[in-house]
Amino acid sequence: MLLAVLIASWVKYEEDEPFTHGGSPMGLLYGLISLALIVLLMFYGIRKRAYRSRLGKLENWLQSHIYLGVLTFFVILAHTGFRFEDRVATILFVVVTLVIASGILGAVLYKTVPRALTEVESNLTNDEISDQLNQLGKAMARLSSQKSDSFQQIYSRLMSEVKPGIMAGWRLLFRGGRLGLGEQPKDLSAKLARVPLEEREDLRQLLVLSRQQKELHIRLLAQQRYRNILDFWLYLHLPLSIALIALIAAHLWGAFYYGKISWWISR
Amino acid sequence: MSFLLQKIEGATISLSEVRGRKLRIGRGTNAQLRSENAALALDHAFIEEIEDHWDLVDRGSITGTYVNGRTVERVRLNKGDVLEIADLRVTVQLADPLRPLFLRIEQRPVDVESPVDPRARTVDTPALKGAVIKAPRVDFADAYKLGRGAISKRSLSWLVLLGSVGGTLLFAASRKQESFQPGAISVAHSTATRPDGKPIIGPNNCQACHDPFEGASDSKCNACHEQIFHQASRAATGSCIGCHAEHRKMPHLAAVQQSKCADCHESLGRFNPKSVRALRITRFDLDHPEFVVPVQVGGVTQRLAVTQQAVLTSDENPLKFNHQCHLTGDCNVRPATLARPQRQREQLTCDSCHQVEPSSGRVRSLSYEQACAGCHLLTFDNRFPPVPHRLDLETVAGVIANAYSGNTALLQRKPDELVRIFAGRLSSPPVNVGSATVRNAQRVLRVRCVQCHELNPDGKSVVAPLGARSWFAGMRGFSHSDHLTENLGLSCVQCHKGVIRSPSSRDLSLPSVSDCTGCHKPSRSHRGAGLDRCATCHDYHDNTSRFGPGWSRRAAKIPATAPAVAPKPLAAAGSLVPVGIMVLPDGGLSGGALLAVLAVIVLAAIALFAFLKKSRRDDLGPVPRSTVAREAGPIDARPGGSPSSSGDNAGLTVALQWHGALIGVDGVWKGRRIPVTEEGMYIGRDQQDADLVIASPMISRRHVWIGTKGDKVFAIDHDSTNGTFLNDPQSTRITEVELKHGDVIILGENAASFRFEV
Repeated sequence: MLLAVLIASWVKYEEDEPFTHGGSPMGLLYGLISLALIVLLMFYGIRKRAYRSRLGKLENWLQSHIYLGVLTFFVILAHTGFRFEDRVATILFVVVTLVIASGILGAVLYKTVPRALTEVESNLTNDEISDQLNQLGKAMARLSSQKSDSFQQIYSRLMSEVKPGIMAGWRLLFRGGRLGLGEQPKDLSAKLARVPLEEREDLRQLLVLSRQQKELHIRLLAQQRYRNILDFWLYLHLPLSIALIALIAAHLWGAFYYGKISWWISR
Repeated sequence: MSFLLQKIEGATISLSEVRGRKLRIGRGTNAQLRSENAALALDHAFIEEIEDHWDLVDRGSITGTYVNGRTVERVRLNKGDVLEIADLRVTVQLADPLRPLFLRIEQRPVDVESPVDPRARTVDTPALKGAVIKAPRVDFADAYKLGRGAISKRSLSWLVLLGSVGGTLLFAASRKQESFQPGAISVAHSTATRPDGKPIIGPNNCQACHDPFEGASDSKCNACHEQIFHQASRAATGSCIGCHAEHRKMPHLAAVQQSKCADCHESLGRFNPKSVRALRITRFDLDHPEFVVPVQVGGVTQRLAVTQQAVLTSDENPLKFNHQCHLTGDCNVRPATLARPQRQREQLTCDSCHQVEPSSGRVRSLSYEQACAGCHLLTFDNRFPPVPHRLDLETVAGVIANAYSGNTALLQRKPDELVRIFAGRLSSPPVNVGSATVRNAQRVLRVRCVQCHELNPDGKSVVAPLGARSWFAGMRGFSHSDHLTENLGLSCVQCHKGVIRSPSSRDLSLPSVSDCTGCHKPSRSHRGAGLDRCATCHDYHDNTSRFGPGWSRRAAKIPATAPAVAPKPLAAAGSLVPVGIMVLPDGGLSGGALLAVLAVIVLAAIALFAFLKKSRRDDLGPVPRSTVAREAGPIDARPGGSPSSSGDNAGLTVALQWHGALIGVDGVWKGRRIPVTEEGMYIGRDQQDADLVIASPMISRRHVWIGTKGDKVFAIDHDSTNGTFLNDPQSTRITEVELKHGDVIILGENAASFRFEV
């Protein structure tokens, strides 16, 4: 409905003003409205953290944040008058577009990913899986204690295969199906052959535990990857929103510095 | 047979008996030996009686089952065996086949950190034979989250903020024009230079026109251009930039938009109540008043419409001319001359006399020599050339006398020279100017000159004709050449209609508005575009000033010369580079209108929220109130505490439809277990509204409903004030969510939390 009002106002504006631009009265009005909308949209982040707030339910705030965000794009477009010569303003428009696009991406992800997450989700939370992994690691360590050097090397190798590593979350996000971000399992045949005979039974148990550990690990990665997908778009959306504030300040400074903006009708 | 379980909890020892042939060990509700430890699987292992012994069987658990420090899958139990399953440490006290299996159970806290051993090492250090290995504790759940290490949302936000602020300052400070200029400036301003050759408005010299926080003011324009107002009777004028705005892809600022004129002239009365002519002009072809010219009526000069009768015969030029005779009659016969002894009939047209200057489009002033001398010869004697034009009686007499005396050279002299020579010579002529010569001269005046002129009362000269006149004073110079082009197909008589039938020079045949609206009306064609604009025919600035057309250049104190430095040129016509503007002309935005718009936005947003809230309540619908939740007993490893669907312990099982249970994790219900019933239950603060009461101000009176929908268990927030969260208090509030095993429902700000278990 608001979009229809905007379009109708634009049609009238274009009829009356042969040179549509951001500095015309209607262009200024569009700019003020878009500024107000952006401020309102920023308040969602505050409301999200104010648990005791009585200003409506958070879900409603989120829905409004999405719809008004999309509307803001069109209001800003009307403000530009479809003219992009001012570099600061053009960069600002690009950033606004990226912010809104990333927000739409987030909305789409929240609509589609949870269903996929449900399919891979186990009855264990990630924290529980992490506890179990540590339990298994502890069991493996106990098995490997006071064993031969070969045995302990195998243990070290098996443990390194589930080691997260640096920036594991980001690598998990972009490597997709290639889960298991630890060291790739290498051929342990040579090491296995050097394990003393009396330790072979424990070695078998060690491998069983390692297999269990890896299966748990894969389950955790599958769950966490979808959670990371649900989260990564915020690493675009939030920083760009911050940049948006800085660029808006620059744009307003330029407008006030170089342009005379009279607030009252002079005739 | 049965099992005897001796449980030790600190200083407390309890003994219980489990009848049957199988003792289940796990985290599930059907296990007789239970623990909540996560390392314990739901159905982890069992001990079953087999004839004369007992076997411990692992059910494929992930964390394994240890007997005497070794993992087992199936093992026979003996007295003294120590079973380690997750946090349960079970010692076989007695394994007599004739007696119940006696187990001593200790529940120890999970210790992932092994006791510190000086010989202990982590997995990353090189292996030492026989060394005790300490497994590193890794938070796997946290390690794979995105916001770890240096790359977090906060750090990225700071980085981007600093980068954008720094980049803007660095770039914009040194390149203000590139950063903030919304479009190139006009050709004149971009090429104008000072006398020393330096550009007036060069790169990065916005201050040439803009004052900080004041915009472009008239004072900046007046620094170069003298200000000339619109009309003396003006009531209000806009600023220079109100009509001549830069940065608008306008190569020439003089080309003003039609709306600039129409904005005032649509209702001129509000600006100038005394205006009688131009109270409302919206469009030339619609309501432009008829053209008016000054005419003398009864000795008084009046401005009358060109269509009025008084105007049609009001030309007071003393010249006599019969257009009708010359164009269509018999006044087009050239007389015989010395050079051309034969008379010659010639078809005359308008341009036979009236020549148009191609450059200005104006009609040249008529001259006798160019227009009339071909036919109207001032002959006094066929043996001599005619007398020059524009001579008085004295001069004609002198010339004639000299001619008869043999000095015919005077006949070739210019009239003003002759007048100087013969001024006042009738009284003292150097040559004998006899009466015959004077009579001859008089005959020239009275026969030849009077054909076109009026004689003065003294009879010695003719009344001087009026020169070229501009009939429409308020109009920019009319270009005849633009109108008489071959493309337009216009002829003189289409505008000057009465000329062909005009016998008298008093006839005034001027075009009216209706003659012009055929072309000067709104048109979408390329040729017709803009012809209806006021600026096509009128100048805003007072055209009667001494400057006239092109006043701006003449008024400029700094002449335009070849630029020494050429600023960024304006985009070529047809280019795809659009131009924006930041400078706002006068006539800004009303503060009241702004507030009204913002108020509408706020009201619309509130209405939207209310609508969403109402629709959410409608979705919830009435939820049946459940019976008061019955506490199912404390959590411990005691048998028979929970129903199971089937199994060997048939005597102790109750067949119930099981939907799971809520285990209190935090708050007043911590440690308690409440089964979830099919009809569900409310958790809240009010004893009358809630089934499960939590007396905390952070809990709403009826905070959340938990119950079944179909064969699934749901938690539905009942519009609580402080919200209900799933697993993470930092997450988004729930509205309706399906509960899965292990989910933790958090009410308010951790005022209470329950874990749901199947």
